[in-house]
Amino acid sequence: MTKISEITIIDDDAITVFGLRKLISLAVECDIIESYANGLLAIDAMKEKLHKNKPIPKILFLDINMPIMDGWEFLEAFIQLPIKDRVRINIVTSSIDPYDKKQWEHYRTKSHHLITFNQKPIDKSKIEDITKIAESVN
Amino acid sequence: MLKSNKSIISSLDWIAQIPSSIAIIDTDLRLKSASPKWLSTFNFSLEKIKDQQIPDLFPQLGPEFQTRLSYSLDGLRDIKFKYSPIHQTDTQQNSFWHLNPWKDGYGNIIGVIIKVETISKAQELQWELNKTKRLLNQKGSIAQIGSWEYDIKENNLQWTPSVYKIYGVSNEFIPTIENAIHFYLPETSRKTIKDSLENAIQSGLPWNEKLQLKQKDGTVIWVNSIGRPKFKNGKCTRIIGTLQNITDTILANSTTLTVEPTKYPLFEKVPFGLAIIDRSSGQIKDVNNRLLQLTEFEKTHFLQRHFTAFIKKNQQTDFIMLSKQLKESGEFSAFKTTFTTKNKKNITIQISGAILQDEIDGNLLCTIENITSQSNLERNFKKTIRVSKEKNEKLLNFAHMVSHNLKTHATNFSLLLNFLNAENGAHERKKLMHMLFSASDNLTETIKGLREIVEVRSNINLEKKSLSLNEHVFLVEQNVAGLLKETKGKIVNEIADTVTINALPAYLNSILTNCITNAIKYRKEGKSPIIIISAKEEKNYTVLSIEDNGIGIDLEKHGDKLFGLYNTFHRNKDSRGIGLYITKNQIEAMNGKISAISTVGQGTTFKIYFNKN
Repeated sequence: MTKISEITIIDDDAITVFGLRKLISLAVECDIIESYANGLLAIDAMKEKLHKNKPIPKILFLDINMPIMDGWEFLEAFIQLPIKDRVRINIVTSSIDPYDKKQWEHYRTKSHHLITFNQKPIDKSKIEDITKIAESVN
Repeated sequence: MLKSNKSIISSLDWIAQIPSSIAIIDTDLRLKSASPKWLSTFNFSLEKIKDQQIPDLFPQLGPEFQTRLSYSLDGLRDIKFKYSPIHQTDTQQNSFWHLNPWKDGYGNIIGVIIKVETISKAQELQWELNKTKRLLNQKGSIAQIGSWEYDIKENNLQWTPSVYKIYGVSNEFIPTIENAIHFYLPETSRKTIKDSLENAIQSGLPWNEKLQLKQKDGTVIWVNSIGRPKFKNGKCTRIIGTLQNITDTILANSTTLTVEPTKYPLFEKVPFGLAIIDRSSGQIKDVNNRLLQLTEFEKTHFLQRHFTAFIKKNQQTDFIMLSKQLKESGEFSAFKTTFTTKNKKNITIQISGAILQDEIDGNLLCTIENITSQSNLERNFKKTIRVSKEKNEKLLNFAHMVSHNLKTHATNFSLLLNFLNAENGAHERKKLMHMLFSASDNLTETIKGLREIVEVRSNINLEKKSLSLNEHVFLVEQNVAGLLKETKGKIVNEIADTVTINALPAYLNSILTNCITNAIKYRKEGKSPIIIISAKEEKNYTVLSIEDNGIGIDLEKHGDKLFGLYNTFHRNKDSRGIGLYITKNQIEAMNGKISAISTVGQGTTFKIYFNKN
């Protein structure tokens, strides 16, 4: 089983977070799975990590519809952060709004991070697929 | 003289060949020749009447005939009069006689050609009618032609009575060559008559000029002045001439030149405004009554003014394009503009134009239509389209939201059930069961919210009632009393008792409850909420303001999502993201609107506009 040091889940729905945690732990070996209930809490935590020279998680699970700061706003702030490594950002949503797909296309080309768009539900094989650490572009 | 006459007579053989009725007389009024038709009409034989004085042959025509002949000898062309025989016979009927000067190859007048034309009854009637008209116009005076004689040596000017009338002076007036010239208009005619007189005296040249003369009372008339120098021993000793008032003819001609409408019989009959514009000067030459009705202005307001004076300044650039179109195709396509009528009413008009093809100088005919009602319809139509487009977008947005939310719950259920199925540990199973109940509660809550939204949408046709705003604020205050007490909050109601609005009671309660509970819910930590409620009358709306001292919303960031579905901006646990969405829908269902102003950390003011209609 692949070993990943740290994974972060950003979602306001407790059941989704619970489910993702369970699915991830079935697919990979991971020491720390952190979760945040909205984008603002998550981005603050990332800034804190950078500030304290702590490692940034290699894999993020990101919900779109969240109060206070939604997924897109988080992404906008996250890609501005001085992170050299390529982070895998898995957008997980039940949205069928074409606007969200467009937003994804926009951010995917704008950033050096690996950004994927995933419709719910997420099953075990899907999780295995998207918990591989993004290969460095260089 | 005799010799020359003979040579002329010998050259008159051609007259025998022509089919029309013609007679020719010399300067002494003697008949020289006549066509067979003329001779047969009047039952003459040429041998018998040749060289007889023509007035003697037609004594019934009286001295007037002689005068007319002398005018013709002076050079006046086409003198026309009606001849009525005393006894009408088959051959002798009413006829027109045309007198014209007979000239030799050098332009000298050597006699008069008389042409006789039999007239039909219709022509005769027309002639009589014209004559009556002329008489009326001249107020009884028939003296339109007069003659004069100027003795150069004696410096003596003689007028016939008609000349006095043409000059508009009494018979006591003593004409001199100086004062006679002085009557001519200095700008146009005085120099011409002076030069003509000079040339006649010095070089013996005759003149025939159309000139403008100012009568004694100041009336300007057109005259035809003819002068012929007479010689004695090779020297010009006197000048004889005629003077004819030709104002009517000139004006008749000039009116057809300047007042085109007479050419367009439909000018006053068409059901839209018409204007004729001189293309070279851009001046309006005429407008029809329809345009006057449309614009409420008098005709004089338009005439001689430049057409651009009637077009709004901001539309003037269009003219470059219009004139280009005109040049290329002879017309320009319709354009719309706003016109302010005399009574300061703004109307939308549509103007199109085309160059009149039969015009030498290319006048422009413009049609002007009032399309105010059409453009109003168009505006309403566009508004309806915009509203339905908005509704459509809302519906699509709603569908996305509903599907997203239900899908979230559905996936949660399947996720939890899958885990439950695979789990054997009692503790873990209990935890999963607990989460399933929670998911079920969430689904129920979501469906409840959706039902509220659907209810708002389906209640659009409910009837509004006139409600006391104050009374309803008080009712809601009672409902939230517990919450207020808990937070030590306070509501300041500044609404006057008289303020009433047209609304659905249930909606009004829902809107007030939602706004007031929001104000309490999003209070600043450690600070008691104060809510100030006031009302203000505007033109079409009664505006209700609900102001709080809460945490505020960053509208720059969230403004476009504030009233959207499932958008919450605060960390409160009980934010459903549905309240303001429903409030907005309820207000819009009553044809009102809602807006918000807010400063983060200071508070929020919601303004709710209740439609008065």
